Amino acid sequence: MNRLLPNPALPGRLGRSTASLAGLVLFLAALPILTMIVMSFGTADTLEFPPAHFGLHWYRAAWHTFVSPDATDTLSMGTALTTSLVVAIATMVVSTVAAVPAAYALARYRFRGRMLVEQLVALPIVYPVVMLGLALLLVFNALPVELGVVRLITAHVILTLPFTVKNCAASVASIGPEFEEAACLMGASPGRALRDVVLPLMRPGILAGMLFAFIVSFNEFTVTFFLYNIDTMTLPVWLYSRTVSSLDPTVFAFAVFIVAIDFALIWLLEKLVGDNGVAL
Amino acid sequence: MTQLILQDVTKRFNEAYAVDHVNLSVPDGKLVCFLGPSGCGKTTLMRIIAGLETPTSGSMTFAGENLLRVSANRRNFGMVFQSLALFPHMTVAQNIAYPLRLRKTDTAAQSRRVAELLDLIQLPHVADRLVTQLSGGQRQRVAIARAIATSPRLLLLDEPLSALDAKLREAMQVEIKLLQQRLGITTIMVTHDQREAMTMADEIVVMEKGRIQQIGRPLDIYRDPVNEFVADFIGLGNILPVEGAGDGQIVLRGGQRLAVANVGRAAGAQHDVRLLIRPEDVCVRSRGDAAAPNTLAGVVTFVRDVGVSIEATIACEGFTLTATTTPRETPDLHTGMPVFAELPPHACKLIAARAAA
Repeated sequence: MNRLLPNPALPGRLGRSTASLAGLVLFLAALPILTMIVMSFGTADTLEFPPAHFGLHWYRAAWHTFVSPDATDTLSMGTALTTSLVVAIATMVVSTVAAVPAAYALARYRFRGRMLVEQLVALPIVYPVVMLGLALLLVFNALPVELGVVRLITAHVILTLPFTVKNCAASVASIGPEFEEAACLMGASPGRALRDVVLPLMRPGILAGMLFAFIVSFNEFTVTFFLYNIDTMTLPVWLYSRTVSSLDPTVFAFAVFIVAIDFALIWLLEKLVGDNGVAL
Repeated sequence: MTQLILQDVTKRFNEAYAVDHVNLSVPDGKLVCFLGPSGCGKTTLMRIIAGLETPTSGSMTFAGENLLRVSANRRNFGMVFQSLALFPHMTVAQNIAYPLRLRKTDTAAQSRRVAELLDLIQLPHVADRLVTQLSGGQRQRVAIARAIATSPRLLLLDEPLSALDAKLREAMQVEIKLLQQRLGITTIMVTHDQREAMTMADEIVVMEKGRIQQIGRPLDIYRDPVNEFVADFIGLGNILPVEGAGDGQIVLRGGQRLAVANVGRAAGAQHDVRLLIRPEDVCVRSRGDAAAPNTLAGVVTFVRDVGVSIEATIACEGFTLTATTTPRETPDLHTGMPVFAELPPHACKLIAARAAA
C-alpha cells in the first residue's frame, strides 16, 4: 500500500481558494471589455445595460459612418484613424531611435547624472497626465509656429520613452560587454561591433519597445485631448467627441474594433519576444 | 626569441593596484600561464595585453612595436573569453568567419578557412548550427577556432575551461595544449587552477596582489618555490613554522631538529622562514625510532584513501603533517595509529614566509 495521496501543501501548487481569487481578479480586469462587447451587440438607442435585444444594428451603423460619413459630422472616422496611425507610427520610430542609444549609455556607462537621466526618462509614468497635457499646451501655444501633428508626436514620444528605454536597456543589460570586446579583438571598430553584435542582440528589446510605443500612442487620450485641433483629431478623441455630442452606441462597435487591433498587437508582441525580455 | 615584452606595467583603479610594476617577456611559440587566486590581477594583466584596458604606466612592445599606440582591433591578437562570447545570433560558420569578414577576405577564401578550422577542431558537421545548439565542449572548440581564424600573432585564453565539468576540462586541457604546439602559436592563458597550469604551461607566472611572485617552468616552481605563497598555491605542501636555524639544522616548533639541504637561504632571517616539504616526500613508517635523523613521531588523525593514493594527516608535537603514500607501501594505515615520519634532508626546503598581513 504505497498509494500517492494528494498533498495540498506542495509548494508552487495553487489551492482552490487562490485559484478562485485569481479568477475573480481576471474577470474584473476583463469586465470593461466584456461590457463593451455586450453593448455593441445591443439594438436599443439608449445606453441601457444589459440590452434587451441583441443584433448587429450598431455595427451596421458604424460601418455606414465609416464608409459614407455624414455631412453633419465635422470629421470622419477615417481621417481620425489616419491621424492616429500617422502619430502612432511616427511616435514609435522617433521614440525607438532616441531610446536605443539612451538605453545603451544608461546600461553601459557610469556617468555623472546617470540616475537623474534615468529618473527623468521614467517620469512620464508617474506624472499626472492632465498636468503634462496642460504644460505642453502652454509651451506649444507660446511657440511662434503651428506644429500641427508634430505637437501630438512630441507629446507621445515623451509618454512612450519609459517603455522604449526600459525595454532596450533590459536587452543591453543582458548582453555582456565581452561580446563587443570579442568583436573588437577580432578587428571590428567600436561602431562596427555595435552594428554587428549589439544591435542584433538587442532586437527583442527594440521590437518590444516599438510595439509598446505604438500601443500607448494609439490609445492615448488625456494629453492628446489638450493638444489636438480639428485637423489632428485622433481616434480616441474622436470616439469621445461622439459620446459627448450624442449618446451614440456606435462607439461601442468602434471600440471593439480598436480593442481587436490592440489584442492583435499584444499577441504579436508575445510572439516576437516571448516571456523574457519584456519590461514595463 | 621574445616578441611580447612588458616593462613596469602598472594598473591602478583609484588607489588600489590591480597590476603592480609587472616585468615580463613572453617567449615565442610557448604557452605561458598567469596563475593566481581571484583578484590577483592576472585577468587585468591579460586585458591590458589584449588592449581592453590601458595601463596607468609602463610600456609594452610586440616585435619592437609600441603596443600602447595600437588599439585592440588592430593588434591581431586572438582571444577566448571566459564566457566564450560566441555570437548567439550567428551560426558556427558565421562566428568563425566573422574576423575574416572584417578583414574583407573574399567569400571563397572565407569558407575554405572555416572548413579548415572546423576540421582542425574535429567538428566539420556543425557549421550551420546555431551556437546555442552546441554542447559545452563543442562551444569551447568553436571559440578557439574563431580566435585563431586569422592566424593571430598571440592567442589569449581567459579561464576558457572554467565552465566545463571536471572530466571534460581535463580532456580539453590536453587538446588545447596539443593544438597550441601543433600551430606553434604564442599563447597566454589565465587560470586559477594550478593543476591546469601545470598540465598546459611551458612557463608559469604566479601572481598575487598585482605582483609577479615567481616565473618559471611548472616543475621548477613546484620543486623550488621562492616563498610561502607560491609553495602554498602550487600543489599540496606542508609548510611548517621554523623556530631557529643554524649549523645545517633547523628547529621546529615542537623542538624537533631537522637537517635541511639549503639551510643557507635562512641565514640572517630566521624568524622569516618556513620549512616546506611536499606530502609525497614524507616517508611514513609504522615502526622506527624517533631518535633517528630527520624522523618525527606522530599519530595518524585522518586517512583519505582514494584508491590510487593514500593521504594521511599526522599529528606531531606542535604541528600537523600531511603525507601521501600508496596502498602498497602502507597497507594498514588507519586513524589513531602511531607512526614515524621521515623527512629526507634533500626534500626539506626553507622558504621565505608570507609577509604578515
